[in-house]
Amino acid sequence: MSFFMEVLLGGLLAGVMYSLVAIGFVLIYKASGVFNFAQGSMVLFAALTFVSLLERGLPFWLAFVLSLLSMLLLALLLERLVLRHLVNRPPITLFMATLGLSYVVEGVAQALWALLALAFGLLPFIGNDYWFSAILIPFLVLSLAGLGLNLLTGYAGQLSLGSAAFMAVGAFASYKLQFLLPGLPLLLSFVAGGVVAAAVGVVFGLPSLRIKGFYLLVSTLAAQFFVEWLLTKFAWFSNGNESGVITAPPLLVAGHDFGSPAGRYLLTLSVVLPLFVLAGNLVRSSLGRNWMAVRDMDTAAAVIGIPILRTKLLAFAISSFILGVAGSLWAFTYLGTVEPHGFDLSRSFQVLFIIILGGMGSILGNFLGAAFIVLLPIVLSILSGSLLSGVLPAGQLENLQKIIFGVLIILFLIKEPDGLARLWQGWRARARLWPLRF
Amino acid sequence: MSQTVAPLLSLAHISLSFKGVKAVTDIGFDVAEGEICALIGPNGAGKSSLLNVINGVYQPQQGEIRFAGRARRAMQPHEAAVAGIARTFQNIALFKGMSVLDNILTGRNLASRSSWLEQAFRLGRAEADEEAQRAVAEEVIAFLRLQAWRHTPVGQLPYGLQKRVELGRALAARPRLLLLDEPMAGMNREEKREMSQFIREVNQVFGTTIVLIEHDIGVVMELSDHVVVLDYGRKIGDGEPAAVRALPEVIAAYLGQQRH
Ligand SMILES: Nc1ncnc2c1ncn2[C@@H]1O[C@H](COP(=O)(O)OP(=O)(O)O)[C@@H](O)[C@H]1O
Ligand SMILES: [Mg+2]
Repeated sequence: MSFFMEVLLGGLLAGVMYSLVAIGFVLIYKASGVFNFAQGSMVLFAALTFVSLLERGLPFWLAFVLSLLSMLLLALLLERLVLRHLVNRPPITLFMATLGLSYVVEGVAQALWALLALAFGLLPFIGNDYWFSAILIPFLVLSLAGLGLNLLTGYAGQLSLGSAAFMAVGAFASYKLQFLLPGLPLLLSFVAGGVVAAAVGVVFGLPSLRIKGFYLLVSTLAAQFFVEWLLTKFAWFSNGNESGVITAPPLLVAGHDFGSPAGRYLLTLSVVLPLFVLAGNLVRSSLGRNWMAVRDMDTAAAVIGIPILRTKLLAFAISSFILGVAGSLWAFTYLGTVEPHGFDLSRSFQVLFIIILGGMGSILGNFLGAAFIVLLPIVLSILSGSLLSGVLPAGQLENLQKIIFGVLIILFLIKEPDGLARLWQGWRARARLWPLRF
Repeated sequence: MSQTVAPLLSLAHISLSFKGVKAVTDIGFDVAEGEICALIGPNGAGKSSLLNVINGVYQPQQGEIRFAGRARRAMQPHEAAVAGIARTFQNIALFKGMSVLDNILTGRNLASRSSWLEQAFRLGRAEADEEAQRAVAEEVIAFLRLQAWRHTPVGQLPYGLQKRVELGRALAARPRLLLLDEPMAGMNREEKREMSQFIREVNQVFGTTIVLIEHDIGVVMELSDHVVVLDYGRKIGDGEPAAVRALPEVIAAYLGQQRH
């Protein structure tokens, strides 16, 4: 009897899997008329990715989601690199192409999964703790903060010097809510911190309805000083700590501890990337166009029916939400312990530099700008340790850094107002063309 | 135009001043559904101000605006857009940092039905909604023959093309009333001919009612069904092109000193 059950279950399981694969087949066939011969190797690819991730100690569900994501990425890549170039070709060509693909995918599945899973799967295992703690995590969090400010300033055209204030609100709200609502899941507390920051952002964004440009800067500056003062003055926000210091709770998600440097990196990445995807969708949607319209010419925007008030306030809300989440990550996954002064005006400036260097109105630019801001001090200190040792007194390093930043900001504003993102695009366009020059 | 049906747009006793300086004084006229009405008059006569009153950029101190059966003391820009009024500006008011396609898509913003949350997650109506808006924008692009510049930032386009893109953004809204402030200013003869052709087609193909400001009297005579003449903020002529042209006040005030 037990043998029968075993066979029955095994058979059912196999059947379920075959039918899933078959559904994939039919879906592609019905939608595009292509008989996808690479289906089998894609199944293999997914399985290999999943098992490899499991073997490296990832929890089941995380490995599962990551495998799905990597398949999605693979499919997008195939579409971009291969299928797109075959549009409108006869079906037989497509069929042969999928046959060819099946060999490629199968042959390099082992190597490819490692490449694709680079960000998620590989880096945590090859990188050392210094990389995560001092480079990758702050890079991701600052990219996210840059994204928040970029939506408001780069896309909707509203200047702000209050970025750090909204980060602080997010961090302290996440922290406080963890105590007020025991058992609140960690990820949810990040979202809740973002929501509180969004509400505060809307309040400080209200003046934007009447004032513009530099006068608006003053209002956001008020937010910056007010929030810092409030969080330092009232110990309630930090659960009674006299100097307002908060310490992150254990980083548990669904029972799994993400407290190690690699874990904190993964946790940060899995919060930051989805937010980037959502923001990318938004700026290409009608809200994103409304933001840019208000930025470029608000009278014309009003005349074509864009609700100026709503559009601006949404920019403040969504921007502050993202900054709030970035603040929570800064406190929880990057520093672990933070005080209100960690979110002072110079932090706001740092975020502003990210978008000036990276590029206003660019999603990619936030990564480029953040990478620059994080790497420059490190590169400088390495340089001064080796090349310039003895030449440069230790205390001068910080000054040198300031000078370089200042000069770069000015250079960029003059020479390349669209930032690194534009340089990158130009470089890519040239790279695409270069074989044709011969 | 038949006078028995109520006019689409009717202005009565509109007066507008800026800190005591009168720009428009006690002006009233009707625009019938489906007609092309030209507003003419020397520089500073108050033509642009009047268009701004019609679509709510300026609020007149006195008067009443009746559009599509609804009378108002003054319009608000958003109200006017919702009611179906679109316009272009004398000094091009495009969104300089955006592509031609995106500029034209902004003209569809009122037609967008999905919420920003749906757009962020690409859920629900978002995808179909975006497709629908893009389809209309592409129709406009094809109609105005802007295909070659679809993805060009409008700031990089020559002046004549920018004027065309601005018309496209207005057309994308599928307006009932289209206000054009000097759509042919600064254009060469060929560009003017093209633009007149577009305006006539919009009027005939889509039945859009048009109020336009134009200095070139030849173009005005050829294009319009109805001419209103302003001078120093007052109306000095109103009627069919040929009749208006013959009025002595008009000859003295405007045609005598027309720009060359
Ligand atoms: N925003 C404004 N502020 C002050 N004065 C204005 C404004 N807009 C128009 N005017 C004045 O109103 C008068 C009519 O201008 P306008 O409507 O632009 O004339 P037109 O378009 O016929 O050349 C002019 O004297 C002009 O200076
Ligand atoms: Mg004018």
